[in-house]
Amino acid sequence: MSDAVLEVRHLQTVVRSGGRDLPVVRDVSFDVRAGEAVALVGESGSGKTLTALSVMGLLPDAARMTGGTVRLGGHDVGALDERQRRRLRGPEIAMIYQDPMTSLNPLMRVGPQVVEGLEAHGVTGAEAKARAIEALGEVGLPRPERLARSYPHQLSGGQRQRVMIAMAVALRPKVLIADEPTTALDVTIQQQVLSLADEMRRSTGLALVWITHDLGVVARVAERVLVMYAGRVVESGESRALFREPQHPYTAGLLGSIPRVLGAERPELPQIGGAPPDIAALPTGCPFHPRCPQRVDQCQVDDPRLEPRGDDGANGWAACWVPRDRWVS
Amino acid sequence: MTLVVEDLVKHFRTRDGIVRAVDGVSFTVERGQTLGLVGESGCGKSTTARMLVRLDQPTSGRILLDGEDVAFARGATLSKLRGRIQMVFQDPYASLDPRLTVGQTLGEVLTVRRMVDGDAQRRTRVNELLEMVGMTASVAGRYPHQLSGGQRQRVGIARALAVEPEVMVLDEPVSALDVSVRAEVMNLLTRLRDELGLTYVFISHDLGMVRHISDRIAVMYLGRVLEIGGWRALSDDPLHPYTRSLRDAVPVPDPELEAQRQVVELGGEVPDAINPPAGCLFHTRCPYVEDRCRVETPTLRELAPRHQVACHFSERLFPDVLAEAQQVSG
Ligand SMILES: Nc1ncnc2c1ncn2[C@@H]1O[C@H](COP(=O)(O)OP(=O)(O)OP(=O)(O)O)[C@@H](O)[C@H]1O
Ligand SMILES: Nc1ncnc2c1ncn2[C@@H]1O[C@H](COP(=O)(O)OP(=O)(O)OP(=O)(O)O)[C@@H](O)[C@H]1O
Ligand code: SF4
Ligand SMILES: [Mg+2]
Ligand SMILES: [Mg+2]
Repeated sequence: MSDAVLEVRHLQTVVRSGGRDLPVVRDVSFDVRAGEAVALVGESGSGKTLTALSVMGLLPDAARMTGGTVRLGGHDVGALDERQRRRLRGPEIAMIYQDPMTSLNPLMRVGPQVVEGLEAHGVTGAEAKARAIEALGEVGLPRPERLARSYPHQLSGGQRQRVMIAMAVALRPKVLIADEPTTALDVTIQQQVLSLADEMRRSTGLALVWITHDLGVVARVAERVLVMYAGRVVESGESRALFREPQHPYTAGLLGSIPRVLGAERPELPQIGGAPPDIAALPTGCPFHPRCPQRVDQCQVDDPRLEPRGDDGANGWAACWVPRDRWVS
Repeated sequence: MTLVVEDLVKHFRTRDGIVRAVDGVSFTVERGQTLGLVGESGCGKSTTARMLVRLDQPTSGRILLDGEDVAFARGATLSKLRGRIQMVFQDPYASLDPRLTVGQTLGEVLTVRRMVDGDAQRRTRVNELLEMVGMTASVAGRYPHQLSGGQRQRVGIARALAVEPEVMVLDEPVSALDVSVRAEVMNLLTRLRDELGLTYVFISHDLGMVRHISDRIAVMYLGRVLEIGGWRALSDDPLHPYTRSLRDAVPVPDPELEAQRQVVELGGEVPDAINPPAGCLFHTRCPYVEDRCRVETPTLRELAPRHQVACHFSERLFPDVLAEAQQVSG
């Protein structure tokens, strides 16, 4: 555990809405080690972005962290003041935001935008310029000197996403959180970005937190997975094991509902039924129980905690009252 | 009914030049069958869809419904056409009027298209339509914002079904939905097609979904079809370099398969539709490009029965796949 570059424990975050505090991140814990890729997967509204923004200390005004700790490279982030925290963003941890158009300044050429990020951390003048060009080249952008003089709208979606990655990694962070960085891209461009991320991880030991709702992307990039549902981590574990033998009925349902990629048979798709819950009206007990095929009476009243499966979590962790070997099929 | 599209073209005049959005697309969909259209953003899928339902006027080409050319139909013929071919849109949020209840939305279509006589019949038919798409009559009183994404898409489908069409053009009908509700809508579409004998044009950038529902699949690139064939051959053993790259680029939800895959990465980006490349449209990104590709445009050639490919070199590049394809279908 101690070799984790990022350690998140019992994270709780609420959003203020209609005079109430809605629990959008509920007791989320995870570790990321150097050179490791962890996927945060979940459907729209499950709390992925707010988990990431809580870790970054960059929550929107309506949201507030109400519990838990974030340890980054040995620092307890909660114990630092805002100035010290800002110093960690860049060299320790960086994030690629969900929408590249809103996070790049449309009125500014991209080169100076990368330089600006470096200057905030004391890299200035010619050195900042050189580092910016270097970073743009490293993410596979052709002729980076020329490209640096472009405005964001002159670039393609794939190029903008690469600029975002360049900005994020220019200060050589140890951890990179990427929030749906390829969702808006075509698959062939997505493939380029995924390979780039993998290469950076292997060559520089960058730790990746990859946020997505696409289980294919998870299978391609991540060694470990956290599955979120209604603000909770409902399952976590090593990717191969989790895809082979999911321990939570929601994960099993999601995996089962995807069309097969091979073979001559095209059976009706197994479907989960229902829809993810409204965070303002969470069901009692297990948040998945209204949709769950494995539900027992207890599920309607008691909320299951994330518990290890197999010997000491050999099969990962799951928050479900019914262990896999007792599932009805 | 059989839908035949011949050399369909749509060019948009813009300030920057002429966008060749659709540039000579042909295909046939037999009654009760599904043609899948796949391709990357901007390849002309939606423009093709909009021409089929005549939301866009084709620049040239033919759209034959049971032999009758409706590409340039007007007035009464066009109105009749709208009763035979309907479209379901990607965004269930934007395609429903927020001020109308579900019952009003469906009732309006029924009244305008004169599908019912009087209030009682209309109410009965609304309930029937809701039942057809797996919802209860109580939904009729709700507004779109009171529905989930999946429910809204069901209403969109019910609205298309209200006119009792023969062909449905489905433009990315599940892309905007939560992953856990996509399967439900896919199953619904399959069931309706089989029960009502509907003919589908199913558009998606998700090769997996297209593979699941289609009888035949056409792969588009820069306004043209580069390969068209049976669902299995096209998705599992394609004969065009682009189709292969597209398939390889889609990550599959299986880490063990992913680790074993030998993927040839496709570099570059889709060129601008205002200045499409000379010769083969794909030559700027093709891993197998040769001089001939830069000057000579490959036409669609039937390399195996009912399997057409627009590449000069498929025979040489994929001889084993081709041999198999010829055997299987022959
Ligand atoms: N600024 C905000 N104000 C109010 N509610 C918010 C705000 N941001 C997020 N929420 C709510 O918090 C919950 C979690 O949102 P979050 O953005 O973390 O989801 P997500 O998993 O990232 O979803 P997506 O896949 O759509 O990006 C949702 O119910 C969302 O509506
Ligand atoms: N009204 C229009 N005026 C000018 N150009 C247009 C218009 N509509 C579409 N285009 C252009 O035509 C091309 C094809 O667009 P279309 O929407 O058909 O693509 P698509 O395959 O549906 O893409 P996506 O997967 O992003 O939906 C694109 O280059 C697009 O920019
Ligand atoms: S014709 Fe040439 S460029 Fe086009 S796909 Fe075939 S090999 Fe590639
Ligand atoms: Mg998000
Ligand atoms: Mg489209």
